[in-house]
Amino acid sequence: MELSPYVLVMISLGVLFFTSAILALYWCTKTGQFKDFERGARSIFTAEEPEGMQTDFFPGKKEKIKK
Amino acid sequence: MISTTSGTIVIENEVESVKTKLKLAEIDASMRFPVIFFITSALVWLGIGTTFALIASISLHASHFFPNWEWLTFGRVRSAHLNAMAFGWGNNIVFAVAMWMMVRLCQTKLRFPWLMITAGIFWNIALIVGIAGILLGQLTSVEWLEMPRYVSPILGLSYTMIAIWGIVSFLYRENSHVYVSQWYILAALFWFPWIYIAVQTMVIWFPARGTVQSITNWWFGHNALGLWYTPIGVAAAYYLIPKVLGRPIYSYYLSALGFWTLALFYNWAGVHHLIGGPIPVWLISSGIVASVMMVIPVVVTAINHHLTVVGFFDHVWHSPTLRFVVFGAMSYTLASFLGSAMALREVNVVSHFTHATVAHAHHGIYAFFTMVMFGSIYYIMPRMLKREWPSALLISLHFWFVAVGITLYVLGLTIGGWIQGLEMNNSQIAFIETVKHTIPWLISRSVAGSLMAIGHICFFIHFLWMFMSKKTAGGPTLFKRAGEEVAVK
Repeated sequence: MELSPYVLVMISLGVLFFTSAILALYWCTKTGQFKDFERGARSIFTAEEPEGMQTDFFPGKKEKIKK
Repeated sequence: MISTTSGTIVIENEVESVKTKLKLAEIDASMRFPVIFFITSALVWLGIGTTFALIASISLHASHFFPNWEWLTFGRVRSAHLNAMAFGWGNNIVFAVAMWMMVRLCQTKLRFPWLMITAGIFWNIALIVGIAGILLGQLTSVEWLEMPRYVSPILGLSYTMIAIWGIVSFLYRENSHVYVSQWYILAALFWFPWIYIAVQTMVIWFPARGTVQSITNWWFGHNALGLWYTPIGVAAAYYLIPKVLGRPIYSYYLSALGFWTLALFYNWAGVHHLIGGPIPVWLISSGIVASVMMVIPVVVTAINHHLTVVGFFDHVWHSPTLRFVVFGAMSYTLASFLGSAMALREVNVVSHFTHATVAHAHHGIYAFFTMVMFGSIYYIMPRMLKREWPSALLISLHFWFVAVGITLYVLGLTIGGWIQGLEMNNSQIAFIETVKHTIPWLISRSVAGSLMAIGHICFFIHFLWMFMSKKTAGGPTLFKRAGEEVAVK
């Protein structure tokens, strides 16, 4: 059976692709990305834009909501 | 003693808050030039793409409306529209929004801005040359890759530079926890150069033989949406919805599940574009299975976004960002369900080769992706320029024109396309009749497109006005100042 050079290239690229995915998953578990989901969800808040503060309003409309 | 202790704590907290405050402002300031550069180029392309879209749409039902010039013919203008929107508007805005989120989530200043800007300049120059090439008739015959082959190495190279930038800045992060948006961004930065270079090699430069070309073509075409625009849109929604509400995402566990299932299933789905085509049946079947499996990440993301907003729906009306992002997130759910349904053989036998496919493409790329990106711009720009959006009215006009426009667009073409499909399957109806029957629906598309164009014009005016307006210290969207609290239920 004649094998096109593509098959070799594609298989090696595919192996590389899936290896990187497995490595990424391994790295995640190792560095604890799948632990403490509570902390993960809160990691976007900083002292400047803290949890519990709405950070976007229509211009000039903030006062109305404050009431 | 108790009062002294609490007093100390208060002072310490204030010092801490000032520190972080400076930092976040610094982070935003470090991104100012590149982010504004990419947003501006994205909006220029949006304008160009909209113009091409209207020309293409009107040409379909009023063929003598435009002068009989070669470069104005439907084939060229339609491809110019697709490329201007996908690679001009889509990619430029992704570079801006993804970079901004990445740097903010890494809690570090922007590094190597010259890498981004050089890549951005080359990207845009290559696009101008490529789209001029399409209009001059040098387009390839491959959908999604119409730009002449001489520009693709420059596009691939500048893209790779941006991906390298993303990974390098990730390595410099100062935040130990990787937020789910960063997952999506990193993955997209890794996936897109991969699929783009693979398809350019296998279809344009060293063409594979036979149907392998079409399989590769649609593997790319669908993955460009699914592994590039979708992850960035979802990432922006995952960042902005909790951020604007000041409320963490409903379930972080679900977001991790959503990411990995998307990574697992989306890549297979592209073959559903070739249902009924002369390719191995097992390949089509695996594509259909993957398309249906996409229901899992979509439901997971939908539950997560919805339950974060639930109980806070009145806030959606008070925040320009949320209004656009929530509209986009809802469209993502709906468009994906319809997409999974359209991948089934029984449905596809009607919807394939009709305008319903066009409606579905715009449902995903506009009602979901573009709306989320509009929302992101509304959030980012005040923080870049340190000033407020000048007019609440223009934001409302922008929202209602594009929201009504895209809804009309999707409804009209889905219904029209479905009727077209049923008629094409009926051998009693002459083909020319099926074509004639689409004309009212095509007119509805031109009307919808004009509404969206008006919305874009409102947005462009507003954007320019913002640059010329005065700086406003501490307006509604800017950083909290001492003693200022916002009531959240």
